[in-house]
Amino acid sequence: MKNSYKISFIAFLMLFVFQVSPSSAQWRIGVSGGADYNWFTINTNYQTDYHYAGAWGWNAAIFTQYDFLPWIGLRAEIEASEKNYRFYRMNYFSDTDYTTHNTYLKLPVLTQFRFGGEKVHGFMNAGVFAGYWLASRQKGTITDPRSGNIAPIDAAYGFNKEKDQRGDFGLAGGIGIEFVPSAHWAIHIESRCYYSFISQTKPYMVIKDNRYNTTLTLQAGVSYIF
Amino acid sequence: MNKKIRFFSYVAITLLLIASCRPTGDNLLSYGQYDMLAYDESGSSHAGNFKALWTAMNENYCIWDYEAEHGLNWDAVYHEYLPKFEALDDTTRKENPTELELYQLYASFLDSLHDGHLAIEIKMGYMTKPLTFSPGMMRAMRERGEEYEITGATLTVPDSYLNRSGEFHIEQFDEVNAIDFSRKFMHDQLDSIISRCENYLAELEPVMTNESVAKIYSTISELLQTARTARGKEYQKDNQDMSLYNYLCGQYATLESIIGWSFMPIDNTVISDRLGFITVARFTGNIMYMRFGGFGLMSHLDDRYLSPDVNSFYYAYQQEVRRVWHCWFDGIQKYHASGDLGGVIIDVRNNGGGLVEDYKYVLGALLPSGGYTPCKVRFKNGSGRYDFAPLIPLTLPTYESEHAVISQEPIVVMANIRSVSMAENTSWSVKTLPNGALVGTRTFGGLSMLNTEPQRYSDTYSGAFGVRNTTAIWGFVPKFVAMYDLEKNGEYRPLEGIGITPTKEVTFDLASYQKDGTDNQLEAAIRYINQQ
Repeated sequence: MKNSYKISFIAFLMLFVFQVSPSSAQWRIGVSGGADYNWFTINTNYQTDYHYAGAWGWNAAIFTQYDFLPWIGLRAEIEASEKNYRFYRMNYFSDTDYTTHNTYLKLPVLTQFRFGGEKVHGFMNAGVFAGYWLASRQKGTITDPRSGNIAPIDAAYGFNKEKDQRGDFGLAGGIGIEFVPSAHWAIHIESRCYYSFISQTKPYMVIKDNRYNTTLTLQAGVSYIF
Repeated sequence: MNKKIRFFSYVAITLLLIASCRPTGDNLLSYGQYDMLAYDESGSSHAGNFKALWTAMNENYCIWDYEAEHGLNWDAVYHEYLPKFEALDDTTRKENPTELELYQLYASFLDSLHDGHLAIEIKMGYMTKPLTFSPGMMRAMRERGEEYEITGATLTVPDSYLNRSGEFHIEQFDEVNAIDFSRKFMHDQLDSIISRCENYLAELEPVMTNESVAKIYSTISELLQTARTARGKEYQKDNQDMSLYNYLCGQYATLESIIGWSFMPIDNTVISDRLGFITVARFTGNIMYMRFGGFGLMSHLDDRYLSPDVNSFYYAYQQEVRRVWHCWFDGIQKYHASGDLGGVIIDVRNNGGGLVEDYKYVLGALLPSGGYTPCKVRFKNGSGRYDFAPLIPLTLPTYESEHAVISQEPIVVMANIRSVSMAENTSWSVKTLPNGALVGTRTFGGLSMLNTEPQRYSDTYSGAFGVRNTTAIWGFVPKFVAMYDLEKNGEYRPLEGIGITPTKEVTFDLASYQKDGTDNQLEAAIRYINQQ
């Protein structure tokens, strides 16, 4: 029974892909990269002198896209990016100021809607992404609470299997402008938001302690249209 | 075009709706100090006490990852024990659980914790005194009970070596002991009081017919009796003689205005001095030895803490400590300069630790100025069980004034199961030196650093929780975890509940010690130096 559902779904998908407008369907591949800014959402509760702020990072991706119609396409990417955040304190502890650099590998799958002219048009991407937290590093300074001295830090963060949720999943959505100077080449700029649904901490305690990343990217890319 | 706009709008609204699907975390209260809301259920409810203890420990205890490595699942403790404590609150029960029952219930999960400094007090409203838990002590007695008991014997090393010959001969010896010093001072004072009383009474006897003289005669007689009692040996247990002497000083203070007699009480800061005693010796071959009761040298050696009253008893004691410590330090410098220094022994057996700053007067007096970093330190940076700040170096203070560094001659530290905290960090430091070795047995395993002052809670929002004798639960919890690179591979880990293992293991031979004062661990340390 389950198999018949699967076969029906694939058949429907194939029909959709090849029936919508075979004459305008086209593949493209490309690369993109840029900067991103990540916000870390955490409840610091009574720890009123613990402050979290957003931090800049980078992103780089390769992608492929299949355009079913002139105004809609399906895009898949493999992206390496950072989701960084800053931790700092005030007054006596004001030398505590370090950034946690988190490197993720992400796989966004997006539907692209285009509008506007043939040479220059706007687009909107909407979809989901899955990701994996590859590595983490902490850089900055800490006020030694014992002595008040400044301690520089630059060290890899050791993942805790019980606590750290390395898998990631969420929504991705962006808007951008694409310029198509020739039949085969296109360049674009885009601002995209990645909104994680998965807490960066697993539910490892009786007490719930969820922490989320929200990342805004600014990226530029180039694609080759077959 | 309108169709497209409508379609995009639907997509955007759908995304916004989905975006609200982030479950939030729990809101937490601070257990760091007395917060009525946090401790609301505790004291009157067993389940309330348990929940407060569980949560306070969850947020404040700093080595949960280490406990997990050792097989403890703190969440499992919650799920297993909460129903048990809730059952104790059952109003159909005829009686409250006995203190022993409660103790056993709490101990069944608290005693497995590894932090050597950890102490917890738990009290219910109907109890007269709290239940006290010291998992480190319980571990030591459970796992190394025989050694713990043997080393409890009073060690009065090394004056028994004054008359020995050969490599174990003591050529120079000096010591000061806070209790002995106080008692000697007291005896001098009491002898003087007794003598004065006897003379005064003899003078008064002929004129006893006068009523006012008779009253003074009676008072002096009472004073004489009390002074003789305080002078007697039977009152020396638990320093009762000194308490009696101080009582005497207060009780008869009015005599100053009547007959001009004044009494100087013993300063309690000397009796309860963390240092306790300091013993130094020079063995054959100019091996410089030092032993002391606890890390409390700074209070005497640092000019900032010197008593301003040069006539005070405390000042006199401080001067004695200085003199004895300088015998050791100056001897090292002198024999090092002449090339005759055989080695250095720092004996921290039965040393319960103390002030971190003392490091500069012990091992730090042999190392270069500017501090020594033998390990790293970790503290929490969030309320989550595994929220830790990045490791930072633990730099311990070294002697700042000009001095020679002892980098060639062997340095041996002697330690045992009763070496705790700073005694252990000194042991570890010596082990990290190319010319250092640890002789004795594995240390206690309480190496982390405390800061239990409530006003410093927000340093790391962790560590000690509750207020002693006020909140139903109180936790004496270190907030700085010392982390050691055991394998020298950059992997730092705590050694709580384990301790520092010796370079050369030598177990204490109590029978030999009791027979003729032979200290086989000390002899092994001297032999080790002589073999280098």
